[in-house]
Amino acid sequence: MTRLELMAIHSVNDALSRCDIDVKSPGTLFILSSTKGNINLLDNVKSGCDIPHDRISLPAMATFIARHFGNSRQPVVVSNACISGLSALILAKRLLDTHACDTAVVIGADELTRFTVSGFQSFKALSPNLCRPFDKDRQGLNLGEAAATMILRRCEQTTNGQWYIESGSVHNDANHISGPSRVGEGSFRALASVTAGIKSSDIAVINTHGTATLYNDEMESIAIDRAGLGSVNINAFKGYLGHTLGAAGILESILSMMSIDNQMLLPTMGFSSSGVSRSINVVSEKRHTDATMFIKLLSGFGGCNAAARFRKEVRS
Amino acid sequence: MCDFAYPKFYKMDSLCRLGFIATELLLGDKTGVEGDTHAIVAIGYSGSLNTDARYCETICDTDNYFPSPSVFVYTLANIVTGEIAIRNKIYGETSSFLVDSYDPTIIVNLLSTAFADPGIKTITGGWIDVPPGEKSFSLRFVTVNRDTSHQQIIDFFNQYPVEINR
Repeated sequence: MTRLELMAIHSVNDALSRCDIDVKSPGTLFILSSTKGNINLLDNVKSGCDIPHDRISLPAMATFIARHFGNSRQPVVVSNACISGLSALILAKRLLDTHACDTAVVIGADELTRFTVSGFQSFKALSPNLCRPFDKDRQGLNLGEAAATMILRRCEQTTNGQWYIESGSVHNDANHISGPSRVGEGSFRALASVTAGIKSSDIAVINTHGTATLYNDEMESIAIDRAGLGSVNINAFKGYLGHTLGAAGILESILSMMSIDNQMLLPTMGFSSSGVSRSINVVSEKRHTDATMFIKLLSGFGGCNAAARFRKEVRS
Repeated sequence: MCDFAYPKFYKMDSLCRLGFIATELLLGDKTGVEGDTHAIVAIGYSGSLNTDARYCETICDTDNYFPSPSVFVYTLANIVTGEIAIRNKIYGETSSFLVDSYDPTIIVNLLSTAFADPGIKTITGGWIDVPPGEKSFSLRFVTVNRDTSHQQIIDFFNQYPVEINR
């Protein structure tokens, strides 16, 4: 298997060890979120390997992983640029809600490759230093790599201490394939949709995309301000992890859940003073929280934007 | 019906051009479709593999290294949905899913997930695939609304099966 498949399989094994599901059941659906998958197989230098060439295709990689776990159902790949992870979680929620599956194993995986590094470099999007989300001195993003897995189940009743995806929304900017909307159109619409009817004081944090490129962070500040959420805590994790592409939505959601499990909000590493035009409330030092709801926000090439609302059931 | 006085068309890769032409034909007169409540859902097998190979040629040789952002951006499977959204001012959902076989039930299940968003009234999408080498392509696009029955859409996809070129 390829290095990325190994990363994904390790991640699924770890997730499976923490819950009790029947991974082989026909009701269990594997969903893979990835932008470039096994793109390294294209590299001529590495063609000496014995991996079948068709595994460069994302569905073939997803099928390989599902079969590795004895699951014979056809998996689904979500490849929606940098919002893929959140798109995949939203897809899982919808397929669970409509009883198209009973359990979803949602894997996000992307690795550092010459392919993606050279591409982001050609866009002049990479920072020469550690990235600084929302900071006045931000110079661009750092690429990262990760595999992360979240297992979702349909529940008829809520259980104390369990996390739920309550709402998810995807909207396009209809503006540009590689530049964020100047008015944050798609992110604003996605945010407005998942926070409709919610008191902003109930939101612990908005975990943003926060890539630390000039345009992304500015766009997000506009979208958050337009949605009337300028006073809500926001943070970004790219300073710790880099931009993990297809894994980002799942990895960053898991970290947000873990931090709220510990009643705290993680600081935005790399941030010291605001460098965006709107007034937003960036978490710069560890903060306590009693709230158990958070919003995950992402945006990506192709003008796509996604937001999801997560909530932990806590009964006193 | 088709107005190709659209300079962006000539910058697009084959997958985007295919999706663009399909939606020019389907949405050309915009009847019954509003940008705020419309979704675009693309489902295929190859994703961006065709352009991936083209981009790879620009970086595989360190002595002849010329990566270009205008090629790199098309190495994502979902750019076709973005191009369609820009052209038609679609602010609803855009999604790209990839699957291992042309299975009408799965395609319709994925297509109609966009209706889970109560703000979506109409969806254009379906199967779109340009395998590496551009020797062939497959395209099965429809526009549906909330009154279209699942069976009706499944029948459409069944009527025009696709053999995946691996």
